[in-house]
Amino acid sequence: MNTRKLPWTEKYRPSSQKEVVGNIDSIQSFVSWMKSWNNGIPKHRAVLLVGPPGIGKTAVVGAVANDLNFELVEFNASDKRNKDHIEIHVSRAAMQHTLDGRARVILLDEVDGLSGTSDRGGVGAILKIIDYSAHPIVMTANDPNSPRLKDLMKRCKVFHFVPIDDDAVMQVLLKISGANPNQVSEEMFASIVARAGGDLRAAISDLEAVIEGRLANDEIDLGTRDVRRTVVQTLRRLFMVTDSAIARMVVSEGNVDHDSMLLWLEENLHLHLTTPLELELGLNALSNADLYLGRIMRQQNWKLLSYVFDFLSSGIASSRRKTPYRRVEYTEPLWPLLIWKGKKKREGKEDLISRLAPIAGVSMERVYEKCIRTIDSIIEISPKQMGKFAEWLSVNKKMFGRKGSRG
Amino acid sequence: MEIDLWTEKYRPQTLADIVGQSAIVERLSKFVERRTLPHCLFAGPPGTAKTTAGMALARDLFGDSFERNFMELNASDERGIDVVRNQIKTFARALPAGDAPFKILVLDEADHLTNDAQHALRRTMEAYASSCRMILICNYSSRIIPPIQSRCAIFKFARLREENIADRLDYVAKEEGVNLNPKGKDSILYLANGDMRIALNLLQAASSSGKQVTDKVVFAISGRADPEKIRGLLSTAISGNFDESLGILKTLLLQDGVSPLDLIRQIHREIHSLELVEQDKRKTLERTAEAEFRIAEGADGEVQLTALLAHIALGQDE
Repeated sequence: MNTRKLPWTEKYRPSSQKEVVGNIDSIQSFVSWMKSWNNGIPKHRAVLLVGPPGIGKTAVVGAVANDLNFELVEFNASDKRNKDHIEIHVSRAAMQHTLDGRARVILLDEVDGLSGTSDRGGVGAILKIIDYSAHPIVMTANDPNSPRLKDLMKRCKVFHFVPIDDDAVMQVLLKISGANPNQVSEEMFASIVARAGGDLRAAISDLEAVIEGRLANDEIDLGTRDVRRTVVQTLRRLFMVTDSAIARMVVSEGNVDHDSMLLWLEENLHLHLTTPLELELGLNALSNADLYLGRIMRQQNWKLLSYVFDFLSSGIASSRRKTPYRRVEYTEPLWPLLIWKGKKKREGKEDLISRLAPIAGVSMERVYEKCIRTIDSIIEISPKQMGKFAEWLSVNKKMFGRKGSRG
Repeated sequence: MEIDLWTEKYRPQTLADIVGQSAIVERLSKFVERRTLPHCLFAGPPGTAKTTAGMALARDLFGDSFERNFMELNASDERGIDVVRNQIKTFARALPAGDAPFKILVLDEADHLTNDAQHALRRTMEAYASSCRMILICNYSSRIIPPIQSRCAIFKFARLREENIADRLDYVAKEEGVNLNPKGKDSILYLANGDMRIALNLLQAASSSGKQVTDKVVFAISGRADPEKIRGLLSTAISGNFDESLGILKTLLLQDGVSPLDLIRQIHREIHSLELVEQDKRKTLERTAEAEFRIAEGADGEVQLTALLAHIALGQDE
């Protein structure tokens, strides 16, 4: 195939494990599990690689298969994956030997994307195949909390993948652009890396857009930086006016989506509205906007969106009664970040959660709040208990406490 | 006479013919020049040349082999995962015909695809990127799942400006020999509100009577109220004359046959230009939003509108 035409995310897909970046521990254990197949069937016939998109889950399978000379058979969400299909196609791949006598690895990509209706019975069929497969089965998934994974996680060895750190992403980008004579400014590199947030695939594809499209800095919507700039400008203009009609115009010209507008206003409104009355009015407008967004989502009545913009523009502008306009520095909304961090903290404790939940008789969601925090604080007071807990739940000690490698 | 919808008959065939959206057209033309294209997401309100841009782009790029390398699917007809796995995948994985560098699939109303279907689309977009580029079209990009958004170059289509629509109306009226008077044109522009499809449909419908297209004809066929009447209704209420404004409301609803939902939306459009102090404006806005929500939920339109008028008539009395 003509490699020139391939998107860069495919062109620079790692062909050897050496080229895969990040997640060293998980990848090491994954490789040793793969190698163990050469000495007969290991304890777990299937593994599950879990983590957010674009961090090398599928890539590492391809690369390792290439290194160890395994034949790779892939099934992903674009294939039909109901009970019958899996029983026929996947099962055939799992049972039969390869034509040339090579070992084979079966990749079931994006198993949390199994469709509830169209892929009915898919998980059950996979579970059956895991019991007798003659070849290693590797699955990938994004969302460790997906109910579709519950049964699979019990039967698989689970490896967690985390976002690639910015330095490593930068290294890869520099390496790729080194092969292309085009100049990319340092600022541009930094903005691509920042936007990607550990998603290497997104970073590579942005780099391609910049280099191949020969787009100047201001020409491409490169996410956060530019969004940030337009939001800040819009906020500034909005708080300068007090006339509702002009405010409405400012916001529709700003072309900022309602979600970011709401978050940014929530974070920064108090910088301009300072008296109690102004705050009451402004926050009331904000809460109205939020209320109508909720109504829109519930009824899918998007005609109401126009009012959301009214509340976010006229509502805010008409709230400033006394405080004179002054130029201030706005801060980026924090709470989406907090939610993300909260999730991240939970990541890596999935093994622990899935062991504890059935014992405690509560949901995985609650077991974190109810039990794991307690165990963590016990261990903090008396570190000796760590071993006992680990033994009881038969998990790695690392799972516990703040010092846990992934905790 | 050939029977044809003017929206189709006058749909621009090349990027250069597209009215308005000059920034977007410029960027798309660059892609045609270089014969390359990322996956794209076109988002924007209806009637703003999204589908037209997708088709014109493909036509400019493919020339004679357009038919063989282009497919348009409307996701709201078939929005399940099967359409992605069957129709889309089959089209995407076949090699492009002729000397085309890739094929183009336009997926209209992509925001109506179910989440499962969008997830399935994700991998197809990647796996067959060398043979097929996709243009997803939607009204609200927030209904497209983030992994797909991150794989696309996003183009935001704005509502068309009045002068753009006016020029096009003049052109079509001349081609079709329609007698469009200035007031008629203004009324079409008001009702279209930046939507070219509505504008052309109104023009065609209004001209079908064969007579001159005036504001009266336009408002009569559109089932909407003349904005002058709405302003009259509101200013009467603001002056505190509730009974009289109620009379106007009844005429609009019963005689002119305007639906309550259309009426409330027209009222909403006028609020910003009302002679009200800011505080009253914002309260009126809140009440209008609430009234539209309630009517959409199934509440009685006449009751809600009357209550809204009473609130406006309250005015400085408070």
